[in-house]
Amino acid sequence: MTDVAGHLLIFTLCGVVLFVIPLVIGRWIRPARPSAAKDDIYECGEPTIGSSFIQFDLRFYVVALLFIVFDVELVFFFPWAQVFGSAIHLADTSISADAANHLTSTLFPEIHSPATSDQHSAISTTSLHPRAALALGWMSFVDVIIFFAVLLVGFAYLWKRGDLDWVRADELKSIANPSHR
Amino acid sequence: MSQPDAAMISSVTSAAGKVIPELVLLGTVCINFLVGPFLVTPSGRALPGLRHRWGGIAIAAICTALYLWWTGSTEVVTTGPFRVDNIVWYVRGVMLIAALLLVLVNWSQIEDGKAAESHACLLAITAGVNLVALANDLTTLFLALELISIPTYLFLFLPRKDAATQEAGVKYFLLSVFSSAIMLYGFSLIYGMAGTTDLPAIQTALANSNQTPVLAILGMVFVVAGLAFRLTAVPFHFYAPDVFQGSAASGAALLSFVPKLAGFIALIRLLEPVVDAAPGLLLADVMLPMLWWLSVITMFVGNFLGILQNDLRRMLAYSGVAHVGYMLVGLNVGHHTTSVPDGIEALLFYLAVYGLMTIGAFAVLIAAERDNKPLETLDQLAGLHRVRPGLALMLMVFMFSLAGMPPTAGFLAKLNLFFAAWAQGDVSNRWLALFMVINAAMGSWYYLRVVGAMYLREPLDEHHGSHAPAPIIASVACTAMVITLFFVPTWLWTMVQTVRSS
Repeated sequence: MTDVAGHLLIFTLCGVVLFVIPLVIGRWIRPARPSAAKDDIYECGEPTIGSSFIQFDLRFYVVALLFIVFDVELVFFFPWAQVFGSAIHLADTSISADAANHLTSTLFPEIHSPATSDQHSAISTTSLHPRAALALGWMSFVDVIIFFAVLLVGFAYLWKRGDLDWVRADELKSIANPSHR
Repeated sequence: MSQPDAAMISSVTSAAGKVIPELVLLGTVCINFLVGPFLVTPSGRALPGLRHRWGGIAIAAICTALYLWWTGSTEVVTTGPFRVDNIVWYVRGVMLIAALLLVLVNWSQIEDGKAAESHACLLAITAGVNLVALANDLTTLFLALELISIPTYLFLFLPRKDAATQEAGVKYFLLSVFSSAIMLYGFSLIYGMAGTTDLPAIQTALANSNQTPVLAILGMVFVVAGLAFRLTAVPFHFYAPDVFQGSAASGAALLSFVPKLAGFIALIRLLEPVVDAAPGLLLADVMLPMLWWLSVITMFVGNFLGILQNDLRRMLAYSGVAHVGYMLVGLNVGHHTTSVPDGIEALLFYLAVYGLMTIGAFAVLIAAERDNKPLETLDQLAGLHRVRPGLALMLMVFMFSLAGMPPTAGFLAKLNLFFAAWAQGDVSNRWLALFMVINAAMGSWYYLRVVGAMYLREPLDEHHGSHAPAPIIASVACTAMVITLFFVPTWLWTMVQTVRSS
C-alpha cells in the first residue's frame, strides 16, 4: 500500500514540477513588450461580425447527435472485423501451422494471459480446428447482421418520425396556415 | 483439437439459447419502434384508444416470456457470456411479474401517441434486469446495466412535458451517466488487476494472486459507489426525491423498484467472487465495513428525511432509501455465514415483497389521481376512505406492509432480515439488526401519517377521481399478493431457498 502511495506521490510531484519549470523559464527569459497587435486574433480566428452570443439553431444539434450515434456504432464493427477475418482465415485448411497458431492466439488472447496460463499452457501450441473456425466466422456474421438490423430499426424510427427533415412536417403545416400557430 | 477452444466457441454459439425470454422482449421492442411511428400523425397524435393495444401487446410479450421462463430448462451453466443458475431463475420471475404490474401502472399515464415507445422502453428495461442477473462477464454486466438506464431516461421523459418532468429527466440522465462512468472506472481497475473481464476468471485470479489486491480494492469501491447510485443508498440518494417528485407516478414506481433490483443483483454477483476468494481476505476486510456503514447511514438518513416530507412521492422516495438500508443488511450478513436464514435469501425475499408493496402504493396513487394530475401532498389524500373506500383500504395495506406490520408480507420480510443478521452472531451484525428495528419504528411514523390522513380526516372535496381499470387491477393484485404472502410465505420462500443450493 505504501509502495503504491509512494509511486503516486512521486508521479504527482514530477507532473507538477515538469509543468511549472517551463513556465518559470519562459517568464525569466522572454522580453516583455506588450502591444495592441499582439492581442489580435490570429491563425484560427476571424474578427467577428456582430455579437458572438447568438442563439444557435437547435436542429444542428439534433442532426449532429444522430450522426454521432451512428458514427459510434461503426466503432463496434472494427473488433468484429478482426474476429471475423481471423476466423475465416483459420477456416482455410491450406495455411501453415504457424500461421494457424498465431491466428488462434489473436482470437483467444486469454489463453496466454497470466491468470490462466498455468492451467491451459498446453493449449497455446494447438490451433483451432478449421471447422470450428468456420462455425465461429458464420456465427459472428449472423451476429453483425442482427446488430445492423437493430440499428436499422432505430434509423427507420427516426426517419419516419421526421427527425431527419430539416423542416418538420407539422411546422410546414403551420407555415401554410399561420392561423393554427 | 484443443478442447477448451471448442468449449469456448460452443459456449458463445449457444449463448442465444439461454436468453430466449429476453429475446422475445427485445423483439417486441423492435416491433414497437418499427410500427409505432406509422400509427401517429407527424405532430405526434394518434387515434384515441391506441394505448390499449400497445399495452395489450406488452402484456402478451411479457406473458410469453413468463411461459418460456416457466417451461425453460433449469440446467446450471457457469461458463460463457451468460451464467444460468437459480438466482437467474428467481430474478427473471420477479422482474417479469413486476413488469406486468408496471405495464398496468403505466397504462393510463401515457398519451396514445407515445404508448408504443413507453411500453417498448419498459420491455427493454425488463430484459436489461434479466441480463444483469445472467451476466457472467464485466462487459455483459455493463451493457445490461446500460440497457436498463438508457430506456429509463426515455421512460421518465415521455409521459408529461412540463418543466418538472424535464428537470427530473435531465437530472436522472446526468447523474446516471456520472454513476456509470464511476462504475466503468472501477471495472477497468478490476480488469487491470485480473487481465480478464470474465467473472469466474477474475475469481481465480484473485484467489491465485499473492499480493495485496490494491487495484481490486480500489476498483470494487468505485463499482459499489456506481451501483449505490442505482440503489439510492446514502450518500448517493440526493437525486431520488427530486426525480420522484418531478416524474409521472409510473416513472416513480419504476424507479422505486427496478434499479434497486438490478443494483442488488449486480452487487451479489460481483461481491460473491471477490469476498469468497481466500487471499482476497483483505478485500473482504475493506468491503464489508464499507457496506456496514453504507447500510446504517442509508437507514437513518432515509427515515429521518422521510419524516420531514409532505409530498407523497418525495416521502416514498425516502422510504425507498430507508428500505435499501434494510436490504443492505442482508447483503452484509449474507457473505460470510452459513446461518439460517441466510442473508442473501432474506434479501431476495425482501426485494420481491418490497417490489409488490411499492408498485402497489404507486398504483393506488395513480388510481386516486384527479383530472390526470398526479397527487402531490398528503392533504389530497385526506378522507380518501369516504370517497374511495377500496383504494384507501389497499393503500393502508401497503403502508402497513412498508412499515413492517402484520398481517402483511412486509412484516415477514423484515423479520427474516432481522433473524439473518441476529443469527449470524457477530456483534457488529447484531448492531445492524438493532438499528433495523429502531428504524422500522421510526419509519412507521410517516407511513401511519398517510393512513391517519385517509381515515381520520374529512375529505376536502367530493372528487371521485378516475375509474380507469388498469391501475386498480394492479393494486388489487399487489394487495392480494402482499396479504397472501403473509399467510403462505413458503410459496416464495422455497423459491428463494433454491438460490443458495446451486
